[in-house]
Amino acid sequence: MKIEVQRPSPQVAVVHPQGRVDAVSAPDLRHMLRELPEQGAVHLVVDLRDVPFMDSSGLSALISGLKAARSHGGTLALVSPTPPVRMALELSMLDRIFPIYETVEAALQHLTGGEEA
Amino acid sequence: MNTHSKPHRHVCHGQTQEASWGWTGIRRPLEADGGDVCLVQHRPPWLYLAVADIAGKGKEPARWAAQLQAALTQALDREASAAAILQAVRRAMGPRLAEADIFITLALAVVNLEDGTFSYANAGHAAAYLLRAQGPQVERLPATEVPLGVPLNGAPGQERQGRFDPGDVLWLYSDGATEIIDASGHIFGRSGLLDVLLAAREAPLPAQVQAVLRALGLHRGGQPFPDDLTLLVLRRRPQQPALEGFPFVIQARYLHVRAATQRVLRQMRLWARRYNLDLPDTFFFRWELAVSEILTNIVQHAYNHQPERIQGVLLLFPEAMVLDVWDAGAPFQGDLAVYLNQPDPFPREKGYGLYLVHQSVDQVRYHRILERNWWRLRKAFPQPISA
Repeated sequence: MKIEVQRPSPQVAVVHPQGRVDAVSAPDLRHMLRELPEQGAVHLVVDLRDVPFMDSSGLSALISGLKAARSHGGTLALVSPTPPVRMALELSMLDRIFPIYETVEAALQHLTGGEEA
Repeated sequence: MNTHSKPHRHVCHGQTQEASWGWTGIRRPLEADGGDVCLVQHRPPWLYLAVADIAGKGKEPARWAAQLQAALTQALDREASAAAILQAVRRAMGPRLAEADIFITLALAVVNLEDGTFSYANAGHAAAYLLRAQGPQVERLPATEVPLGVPLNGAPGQERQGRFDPGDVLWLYSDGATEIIDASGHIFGRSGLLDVLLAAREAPLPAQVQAVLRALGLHRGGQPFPDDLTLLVLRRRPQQPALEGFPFVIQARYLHVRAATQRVLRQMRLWARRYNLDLPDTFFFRWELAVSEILTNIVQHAYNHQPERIQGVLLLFPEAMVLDVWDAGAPFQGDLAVYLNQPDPFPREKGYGLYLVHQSVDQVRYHRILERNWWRLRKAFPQPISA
């Protein structure tokens, strides 16, 4: 799985995984989402538009990232989950935990109050 | 270049027309005159099934196979029970075999297709397996006497008698189905064979044979089979037979779980098209999640990442899709109901696997049977498949 990261500002990272997020690939995503807050990117935006499938390994990575972001005073938002991924979020009821946006811009606007976007 | 290296397939001849019974078989000799013999004869109401192995390569196995087939066929004309047929064959061939220093192992079942009763005798051959639909339970049918060509010490053995209930499956096979060695020297063994037979027992019979061949192929790691291989399976029609079956076997590794999940989903979509099933996308999304989760759970918890085998079969019934998954790892511990419910406290980082399985399908069942774990997931169709 390929994971692209953009840093629109020092405090914000947009993480763009591309491919299935399961037990094979979730450790990479988890590692990245835990590392970025350590590097100052306390606000994480995970762009899920190119993730065709995510199981509990991937959900676990997202929660891990959320905890890491929160421990540094930030948060984690999701963008544009594909229908299978949205269903996994709904079935696990984690859609109530993560803010979900239609676009990266909308997520950035919300996370940073429009200052960083 | 060895032009004979590719084994050819020979489906054991004959076919019953009985609607409530089915059988199929396969024989894969290394050479055209391999040492296995597979015989099926249907003389209503009787069905005769025999698998034999002629010991000693390079000792004209084809000639002895032909003599055995002739002796068996003659014996069927005169005798009614498995033990009596075996004795007739022993009388006909024993002296010649002893003289030639050859012996033959033979498993023989005689089944009355009208009432389901059977007799079974076995002259030193690999034990047959009778898988009872109820349970499931497994009856091992070992040798009742010594191989043909070995002098009997005392009276002939007692035959085994019994009755097939709907869904019961009988397997006869040669030792090529068990004595397969992997690259590390581990034998597939009776345990490996039984893993497959249990997992695949509700699939249509050709899919069951395929399941055994795939498991043996995985164990061999793509290397050619070193011995002849004969498989012969008979089943009394279950009350609710599956329309289709898709067996798979994987090593307990995450990459294999991913590949198996995708293969199972492709198969589901193929059947949906074949049977004109109008299923919403969410039906497949949920199954994909459930398959990935249950297989991942086995890798992590039953096998603790040891690369052992996971057997699975996807079954298409008229009213539902069913996934059976078997492993021989550590038993599931704890209260399943707790694991099927939302992880507590919520949200926590881990513990969503079985909960998501439960949320994705209609029914999750777990059984510990014969030192194996059996998971069954079931999800009904909005409308049953019409006949």
